[in-house]
Amino acid sequence: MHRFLTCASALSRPALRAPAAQSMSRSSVRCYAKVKTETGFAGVEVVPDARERLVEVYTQTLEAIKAVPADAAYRKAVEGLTKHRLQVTRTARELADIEEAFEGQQVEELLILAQEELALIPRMVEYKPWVVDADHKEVQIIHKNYFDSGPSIQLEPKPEPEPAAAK
Amino acid sequence: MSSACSRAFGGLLRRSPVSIPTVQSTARLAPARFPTLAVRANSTESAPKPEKAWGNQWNYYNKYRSKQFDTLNYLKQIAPAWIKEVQLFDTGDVYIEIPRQKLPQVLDLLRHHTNFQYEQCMDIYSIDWPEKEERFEVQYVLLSVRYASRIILRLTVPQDVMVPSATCMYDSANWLEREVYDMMGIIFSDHPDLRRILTDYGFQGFPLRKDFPLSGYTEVRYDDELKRVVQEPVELSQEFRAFDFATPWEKLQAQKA
Repeated sequence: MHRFLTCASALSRPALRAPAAQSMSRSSVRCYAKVKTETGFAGVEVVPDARERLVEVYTQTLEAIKAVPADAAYRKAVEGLTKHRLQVTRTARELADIEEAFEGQQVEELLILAQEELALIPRMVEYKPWVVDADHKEVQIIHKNYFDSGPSIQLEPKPEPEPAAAK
Repeated sequence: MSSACSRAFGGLLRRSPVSIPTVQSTARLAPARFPTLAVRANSTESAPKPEKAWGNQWNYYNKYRSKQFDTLNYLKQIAPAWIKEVQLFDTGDVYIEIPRQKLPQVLDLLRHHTNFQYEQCMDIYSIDWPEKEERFEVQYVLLSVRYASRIILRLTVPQDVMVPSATCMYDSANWLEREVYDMMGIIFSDHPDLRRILTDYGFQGFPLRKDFPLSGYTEVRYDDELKRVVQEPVELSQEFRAFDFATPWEKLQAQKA
């Protein structure tokens, strides 16, 4: 639950939607500029200049990812993700728009994710999981049925019991 | 009020495997979770149609399984060198076998990458396969709350070989690995505090191994002369009981005869 300080300000656009505003029943009458006072997560402080810091971290990420070879899927994934988030962060009118665009993730959480992603890149450059041998075959996904799956590891088939000498 | 609740905690309260973003702007601003890679690249891996057991619950499983399938494809493209085998159940459970030495690196990627965010280590346990060369199999259950997805990592380890510890990534792995060590005898390298957690002080042996008997080797009792608890080889002594399985009617017939 974000806590908001409401201060009336002359905004020309009516019905400005801000997240988690319990007082939204009055929004159609007047519009307020809302300042977030807490994020609702323990240990996560409100970052007032989140947009600038997000842009900074995203641009650093796009710089750092160049250390990964261009044909690696990791680079394509991180670049696509970061460019999209950078574009949303730059073109959004308010921080609330950024949070809406990412399904309610707060900008503080987006900032933490961006920082973790940035810190992960040099470690991934060291690990290099995209480097495979020439004879590496792509792993096929084994589809299993929950009911008749048997043991999850294939053991050697037991030898057939010898037919009992009968009759 | 419901809208306030649904926006609380970053929208996590309305997260479900079948959740669809309801804010109109997200339809045009937010792409799919795996935007740039060719999802379902290999056409031979299309999932078979599941059998319609369980009725309408298959809708839930279908959506979850398809999300897990996309996650697996994505992981295979990002880290092909780390994946030895992948199993996907029709309920959406995912088992990924990884090389033992790469465990900290795999956990690093799964925890910190934005498209994975497996921030919780729910469980670590081990399985004993005495007939195999690599006797033990250790499984790590990871949960992503953001994407409502579970993943299970598997690795095999022979006896008397160390496994890299997951405590570098997950704090919950501390006690979970202690339990695996106590029950199976698997030693984790770089563990800060590896000691017994469930067995008695001075207990010898690893109870959940297949060659450990059900009754154990020792039993404890209070000795009145020594005024303390003593350990003795197990006897499981019971009072003598005479089991007479005959029914009263059979006894009557036997007496008459």
